[in-house]
Amino acid sequence: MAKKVFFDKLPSCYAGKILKIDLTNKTTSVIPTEKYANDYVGGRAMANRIYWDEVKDGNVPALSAENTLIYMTGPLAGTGLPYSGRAIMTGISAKNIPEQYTHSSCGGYFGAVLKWAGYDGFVLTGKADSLTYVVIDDDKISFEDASDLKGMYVIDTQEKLFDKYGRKSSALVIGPAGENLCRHASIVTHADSAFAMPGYGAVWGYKNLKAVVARGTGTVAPMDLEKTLEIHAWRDTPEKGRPYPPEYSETVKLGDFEGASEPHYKTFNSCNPGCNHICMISRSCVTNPLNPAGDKVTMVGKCMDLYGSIMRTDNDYPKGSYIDFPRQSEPGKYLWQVPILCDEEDPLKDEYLDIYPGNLLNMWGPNAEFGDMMMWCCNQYGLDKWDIAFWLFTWIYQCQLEGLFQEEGIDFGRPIDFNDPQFTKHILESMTYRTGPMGDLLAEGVGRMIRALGKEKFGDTIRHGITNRDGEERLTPVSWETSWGECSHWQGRGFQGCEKHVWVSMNILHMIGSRDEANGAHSHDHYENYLQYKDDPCHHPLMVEAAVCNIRRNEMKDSLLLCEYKDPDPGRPNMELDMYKAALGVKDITLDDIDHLADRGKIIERAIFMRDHGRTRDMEVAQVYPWMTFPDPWGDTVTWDEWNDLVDLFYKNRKWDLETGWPTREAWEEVELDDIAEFFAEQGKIPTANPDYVRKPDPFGK
Amino acid sequence: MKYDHIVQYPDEYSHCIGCSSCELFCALVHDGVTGPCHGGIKVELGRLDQLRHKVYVCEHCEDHPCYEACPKKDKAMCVDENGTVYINEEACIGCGLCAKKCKLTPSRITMDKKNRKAHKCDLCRTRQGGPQCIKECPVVCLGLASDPLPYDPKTLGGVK
Repeated sequence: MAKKVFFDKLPSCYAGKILKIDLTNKTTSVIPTEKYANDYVGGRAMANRIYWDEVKDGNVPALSAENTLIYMTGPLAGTGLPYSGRAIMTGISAKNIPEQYTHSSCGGYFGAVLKWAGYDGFVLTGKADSLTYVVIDDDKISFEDASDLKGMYVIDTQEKLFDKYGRKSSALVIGPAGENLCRHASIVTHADSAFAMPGYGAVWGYKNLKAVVARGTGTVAPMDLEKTLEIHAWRDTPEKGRPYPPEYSETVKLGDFEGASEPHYKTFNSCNPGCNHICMISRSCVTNPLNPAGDKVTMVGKCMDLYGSIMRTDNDYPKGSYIDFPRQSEPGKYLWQVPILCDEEDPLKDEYLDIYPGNLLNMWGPNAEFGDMMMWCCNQYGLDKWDIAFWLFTWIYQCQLEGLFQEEGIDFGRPIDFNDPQFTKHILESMTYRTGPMGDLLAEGVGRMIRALGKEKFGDTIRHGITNRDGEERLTPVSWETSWGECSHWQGRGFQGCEKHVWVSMNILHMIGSRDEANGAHSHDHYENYLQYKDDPCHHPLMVEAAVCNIRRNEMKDSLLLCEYKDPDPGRPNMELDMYKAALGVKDITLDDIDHLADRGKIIERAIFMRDHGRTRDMEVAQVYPWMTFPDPWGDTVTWDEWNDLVDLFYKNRKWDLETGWPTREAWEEVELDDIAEFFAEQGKIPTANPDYVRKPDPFGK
Repeated sequence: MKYDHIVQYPDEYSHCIGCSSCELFCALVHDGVTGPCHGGIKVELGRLDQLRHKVYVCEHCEDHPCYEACPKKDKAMCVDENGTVYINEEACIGCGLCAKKCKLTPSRITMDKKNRKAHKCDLCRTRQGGPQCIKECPVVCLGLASDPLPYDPKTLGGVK
């Protein structure tokens, strides 16, 4: 079947070329963006298709010359529309377990600058013979010796490159963690915008790639300027359109907890050109934790930074933020306190706004010095903040609480002390530089370290002392690992104890992905639907529809690209469609078309999983099921049959085979991917409906 | 006398968030595109460990050396009755003399070398509603030098 044609000529929001960079041979070539733009929009969907076409065998180690990394902007980057610098990176993850194809998204200015240099993205292959950085200076591409950047911190590297290429250039860089192949290493741009979770920083380190610098003199333009102006103006509500002077403060706050801090100024910063959301809270004039005698610094703050200082309580859980407005992205919005919109006359208003207090986690803080050290080490070494704050340090805390290190004589080279910022520094230094008794293990990432130490003891031992909302003890493991070697994220246990319908929906997303999918999607649905499935979410088709809606939003957000922190918005439920129209100037496109494009992009990811990593139903169900057998804050769990009943409903909705999880021919043809259907037909991987499918017994014996 | 021009308010009044909306939308409404070689206002992002950003824009100097330097004076580089110095881009030959003669550092004239055109702030003199950069700034850190501050600094009280 022919794909729908949205435009005949490549719209001006695209730069027009995708650069192929071969680090081994120091050569480049070009893929025309036009080849993919109509059918795959940009960002993740386009990267998935390029990966499918360019990489014939992706079953390679993450740390190998053969691992192909794709960086893609979307049509929004550089146009002035909000989030105008966001981009995606795909390739084999160094951190996730097992290593496999995944994705990460990132803000910053690099995406826009790259487009002004003439490229919508780049495909990176090979390995340089020594530490190198690549300069994309309009049409001039050069491979530069990076020996003078070796070992340099993330911010210092970027500043040095600014000195050389000017402050209108932009760079993606790695820090010492990436150079030393730490599997939690990130690739960073600007102030703390990072491709962090999949450990792509280690892949760059392996490839001897310290940085990619872009500088350009070209242009891009949204096709519909009027609509672009309207969307930008719509953001400027009276509440936002006011001065934001620095505010003097001597405390850091999180929920009910407030801790002393050195005096500082609270300010806001943007992480994207054209973005008029005022969401990044910074603390200025703070002592540089890694150089107390040096200049005072400004620390960009997001939720992780706050939890670095305070891991005392779980998020409060506002009911309405999850269950209204089908195309919005909560709970991200709640995290930075945008009020939930609802009609004053709405009879369900009180229910929407009903807020459950968080679980008491009772770990550390409030201690700003401790948090600042944790976050600044991550900023400068180039480490993933999420895994460090929510997984590594909570794991150390909980193992210590249960006496596991003492029992096995595990020594980190410094006494564990959650009131001592130097302890944090020591752990992150050991991880980054592979020093001290645990350095090499820490650098392998928390998941692999736990397996090396013995997962049964160091992963699965039950931690005591967390209380639920009724004050009763909740029992969860010392490691908050869930699926694909990731840390729990809006999954009802560990941090963020949400209700069953939320974590059930989230686990569908995690199950069919290869990473923590809450980077780009959270669970949300109409309140009316929630009322129908809340008592038994695993057996209701509306639950499946909510999951499908979330998957589509996630895919399109990562393809245009929008920001999960802000969009879609309750006040603008069709934001993806509006953004597409503004950037591409296409009038004849509907929400159904947007969903269709999202489905096409997403299913190619599944094709890659099947081709390169042997993805099956058994494999993905086994990833998410065990975590759901621990009680959530209400004591809810799922049984093997309950979860598999929901998987059956979801697979049927997607037209995937119940036994293998492989899409049927109909599923491929529905999104006009006949070529991929043919590929799998030759492999014998086009299943037909199997009425005799018999569910396997619970392999975990839960 | 100093003619009216865009100013960046002091940090204490409002902290520039570095979003560059002013720069992007200036280029969009004047040239229909975005890019570093377009637009008449530029944001220089501050050091990444400080995040204090600077906005650079023409001050429409009384002696306007850019105008004096233009070989096509009054056709390409022009001054209107309000003292606003502006470029008629159709007549501009992109020689760059205006940019060289600007007495401010960095030069407030943006050169588009590819298309041989110069761009600078014209205070959106022909646009209804005043300068677009002021309109697009989400944190009110830009204004006209002649206007009083739009909010009373005493009542701002810092970030809410």
